[in-house]
Amino acid sequence: MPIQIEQLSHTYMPGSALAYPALSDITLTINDGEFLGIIGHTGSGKSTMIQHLNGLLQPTGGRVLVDGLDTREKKLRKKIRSLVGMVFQYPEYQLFEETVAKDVAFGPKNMGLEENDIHERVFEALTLVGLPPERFAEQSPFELSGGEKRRAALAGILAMRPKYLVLDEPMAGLDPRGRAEILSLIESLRSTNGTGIVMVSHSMDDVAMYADRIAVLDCGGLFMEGAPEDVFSRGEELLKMGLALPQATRLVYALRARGVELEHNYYRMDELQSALIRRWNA
Amino acid sequence: MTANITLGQFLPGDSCVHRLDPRTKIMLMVLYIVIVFVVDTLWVFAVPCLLLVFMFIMARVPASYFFSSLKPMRWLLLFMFIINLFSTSGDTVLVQWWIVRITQEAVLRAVFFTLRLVLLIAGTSILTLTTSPIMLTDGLEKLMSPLRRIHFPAHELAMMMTIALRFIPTLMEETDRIQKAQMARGADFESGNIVQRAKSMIPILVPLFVSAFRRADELAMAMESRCYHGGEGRTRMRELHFHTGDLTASVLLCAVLAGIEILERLPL
Repeated sequence: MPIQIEQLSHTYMPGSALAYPALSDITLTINDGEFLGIIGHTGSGKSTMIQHLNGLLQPTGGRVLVDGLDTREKKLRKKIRSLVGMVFQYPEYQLFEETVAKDVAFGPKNMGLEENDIHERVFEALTLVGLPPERFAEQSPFELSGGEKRRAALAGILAMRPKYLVLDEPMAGLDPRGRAEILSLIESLRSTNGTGIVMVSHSMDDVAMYADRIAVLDCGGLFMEGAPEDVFSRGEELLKMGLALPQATRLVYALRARGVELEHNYYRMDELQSALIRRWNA
Repeated sequence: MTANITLGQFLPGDSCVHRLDPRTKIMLMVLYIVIVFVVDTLWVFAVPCLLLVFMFIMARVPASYFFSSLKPMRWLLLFMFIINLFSTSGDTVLVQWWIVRITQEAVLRAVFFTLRLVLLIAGTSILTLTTSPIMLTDGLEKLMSPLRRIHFPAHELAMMMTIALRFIPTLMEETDRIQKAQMARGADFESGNIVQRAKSMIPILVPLFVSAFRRADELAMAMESRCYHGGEGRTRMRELHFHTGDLTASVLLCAVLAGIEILERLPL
């Protein structure tokens, strides 16, 4: 079953002089095993929206159903939070335990699992993120490097075996290698476990490369939604909103301006590359 | 949760009280406290009460702020009232029931002390309502600067206060973020007994402290790289100057104090 967002609106501090409408009338469905990319510039409501997906914020209008469970119901929230794993920006700042293993065990422990089960999940999650448990389990999380900390924090979420994984800028502040590692981890989670991914990102290239569907937020509303080729074919509008375009799309535009006609609006570098090679050989 | 914390509670405005020099306001607030403590007879409290109303009007602070300034102290006020009501001995018994004994003297005393506390709290809130935290620390620094002769770190103290004030919203935001992140991992801060609740704070406090230390380190580095070296020979962007309003306000409060002294000595 999917996550259904129905006419979701959210106003911060409603009824006060500081009331601030952050989201208005958003309807969107996130299907099982789907990779949804969310883009929008700063202040467009991305972070507010994803916090509704596991009931950290409650809608001030409309509703959010996770596998049919309404986030407005307090009793269901614990269940919802174990279904929807949430990785905030800079998740390494949430590490607090003495050892990496204990920190990763925090989530499963809160779910009320058995000791054996927790141990198994910790082991599995650490292996998955590329921190071999035999080396890292007993280390203090504060002794790890930046990239390792991020992966340890990610393991803390994965150990809950969420059905959906929501990530807010998971690659922010990482070097190219760290970015690639996190991205391939996310991609393999989806392909092997069928985990649904919702990723907020400023990197159009990453979204273009991995997402099945893209939602564009602007000023708290859903501006457009669709497959990457549809979204990026409306490049002009994205640029007007202050968003960038993927490198491949920019290159297509530049080539067109110089009279090189291409049959598609490419948005992935690898596809553009092979198209250009084909053209060259023809 | 960030909404209900009004530390500093500064209310921006352009009244004549807002425009007073922060040094004057701090000194006058001390004088006001003296005035409230000098009053010894219940009916003389009318004078500081009128003064308080006058201050609220001059500062153009809505009356609702009077109550909201008392709100955090309501339990203390109630406690003070009750303690005085039951612990004061006297002769004119009003109520006598079982071990409860309330005398007229006790009622007067309870009203007296509660009123004194109310005047203190509401009056001092005028200072924080009309003075921005930055002005307040500037004023304090200036007032404390003569103490530098005896190696009292006036500038450093004021700088620390400014930094502390500056970081309150930042750390509040940080707390909110960490709390949400841990809630997403199933942490529960709302149920359980007091020990369990205290324990559930650890996942918030540890990351918060770690980040506070990191921020402190970064800030120190940033200040040093901009050649900050303490208060020695440092000039200010906002210079403080006394105006005629400061003189008027000072004279007024001194007159009130003198008036109260006279009233207290009247044979009434």
